[in-house]
Amino acid sequence: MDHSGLAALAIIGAGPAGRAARDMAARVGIEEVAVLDDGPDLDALVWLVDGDGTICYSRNGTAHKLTAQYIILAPGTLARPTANPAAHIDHEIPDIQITSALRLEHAWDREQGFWYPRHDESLASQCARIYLAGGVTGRMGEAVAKWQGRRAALTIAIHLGHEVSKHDLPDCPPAEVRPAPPSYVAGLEDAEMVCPCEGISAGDIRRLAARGCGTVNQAKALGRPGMGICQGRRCGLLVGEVLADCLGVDMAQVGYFRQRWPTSPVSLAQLSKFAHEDI
Amino acid sequence: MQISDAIIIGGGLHGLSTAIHLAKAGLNAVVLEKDHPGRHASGVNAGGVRRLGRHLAEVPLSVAAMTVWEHMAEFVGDDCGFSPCGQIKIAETESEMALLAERVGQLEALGFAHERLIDRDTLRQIVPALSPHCLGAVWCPEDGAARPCRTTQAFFRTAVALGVEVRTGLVDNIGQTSGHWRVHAEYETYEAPVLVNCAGAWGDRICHMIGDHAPLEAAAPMLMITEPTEPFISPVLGAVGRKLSFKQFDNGTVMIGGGQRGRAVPERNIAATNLAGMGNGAATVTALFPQLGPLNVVRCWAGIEAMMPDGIPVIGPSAVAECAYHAFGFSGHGFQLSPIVGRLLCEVIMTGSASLPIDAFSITRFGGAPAIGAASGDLLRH
Repeated sequence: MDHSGLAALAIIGAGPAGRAARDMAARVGIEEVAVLDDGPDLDALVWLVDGDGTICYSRNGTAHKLTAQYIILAPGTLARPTANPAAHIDHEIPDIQITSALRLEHAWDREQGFWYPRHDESLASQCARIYLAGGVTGRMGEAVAKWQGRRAALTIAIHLGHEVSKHDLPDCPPAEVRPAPPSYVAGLEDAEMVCPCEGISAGDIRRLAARGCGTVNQAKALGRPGMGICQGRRCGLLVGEVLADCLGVDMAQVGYFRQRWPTSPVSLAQLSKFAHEDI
Repeated sequence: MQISDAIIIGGGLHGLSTAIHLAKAGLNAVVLEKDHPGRHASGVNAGGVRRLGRHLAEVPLSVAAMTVWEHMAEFVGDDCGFSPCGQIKIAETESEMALLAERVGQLEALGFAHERLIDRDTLRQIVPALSPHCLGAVWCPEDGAARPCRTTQAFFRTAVALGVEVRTGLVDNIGQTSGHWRVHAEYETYEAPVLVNCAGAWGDRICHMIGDHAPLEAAAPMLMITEPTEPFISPVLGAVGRKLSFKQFDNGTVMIGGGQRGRAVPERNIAATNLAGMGNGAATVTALFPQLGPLNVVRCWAGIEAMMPDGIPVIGPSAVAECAYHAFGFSGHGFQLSPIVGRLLCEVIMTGSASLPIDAFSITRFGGAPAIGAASGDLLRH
């Protein structure tokens, strides 16, 4: 474990937004930039991000800790979960595992059918050190993602005392609005699985709704959806959709899983290295 | 205005248990719950059904509660997932073994035989996977574990079936009028001759409103769950010298808890986990079960619980107000006691005394209320 890991800027995710942020950070002269991504090149699986700038990640079976002055979160998107894995739906949703565990406020995008973390025009999240960029913001398309990565890096550069020119950033290109596919949850058979990890079916969720369960977190507590090895990635949206459909309410009312660290599985051996840490 | 025989503040296990017992005694109670029943400590704890290692004052209550747990379906129509898998507390040094022997001797002198001292060979037979350096243990084979969420549901259903009204609302004012308590919560006023404070980590706020004083600390005990692995241990395992509560479920996942604490912000319902707690829990487990090092932790959570400075709850009448009663501050081990505490509180309310000794839990042990204590107060300002 690397206890001395310090960075001015940590970028989580090396997709279009993360790479654009990295390039902009280099151009304006930010030194000590760490890029963490779980792809084969970087092999850094982030499983904890604290509002104070601490990041924990695993690389090649070893846990590391990094403390960054600023963080750009660009984890990208996930494939929209479906009840039947064979019936793949070509639609991406923001990967909000980390932003949810950070307890950022999330909003429901009714048109595109997903949750996204709230942020201001400068892409600042509700955590002072943490900025968002790319698909996680719910603004879709590579051009927007790149712009957001640059914008977040520029704002941080200003905070770090670097000279930047307004020519460094043109206007934001329009986001691609990708309407949600038509909802099919009303037609799901009771026996169809919505949480395959825990074996929870659409019927199980409907029975919970009939018993007065009104939110996905209550459903999780009462019926276990989202408690399995995928940590709710495959079922978070589906449980909510079945519940909302059944109760005849908006998704904003049923909410999303309250995620917690570690947002990716991490071994006891790796975790044990953090005994007696002060966070 | 809602008029009833008793107002119970807090829809956790102790509040619901009290409501069930009062209903059976013919008193119609309203339960006021600020979130949903079992939302906090009652529903998210480790589910230990344990007499093992109890404070001596709690032992008679815990032993009596155990007889309810063994026939839980008779009480709440569901066994609550209780499984008598045993609870074991291990010693790793000779001095820890001596502590355990002394403890078992103390219990025997009081007439209790549920804790048994076992040697290294017996320990090895019960938990073959344990690191060989462990020297012995205290073993309670009839103890076990249950499902907290299922338990709160069963208590809730039973209470409702008995006519108990469970209302959602944050209590923001308590007053008295012509010998009746008047409680305001969420646009509604409730009135009853009897008031019961089962508000858990928020119990001190209710105390403040009626003029009692309780030095409660809201804490956030943490639990972790691993991915499933082959069955290797059946009892719930703790250790004399380490903060640990360890259990493998039927689905193969392993739960690790027992004293690591995150950050609690009761005003905002926040119970946050922390890295040190995860690290300490993992280090403890891998010291005792080195073979578990590669096992992945999948989930980690914390719940808000009331800790009292002496580690035992407040149970019994108010020190200052007539017809007001408390059951809160269970300090991380109230789950198993829930069926009995409601019964005892009901006895105190109906007859003025309890059938088991509860003097040690009196709120008077903390002295009087501070000078600012008022007959009513503002919950949010406190």
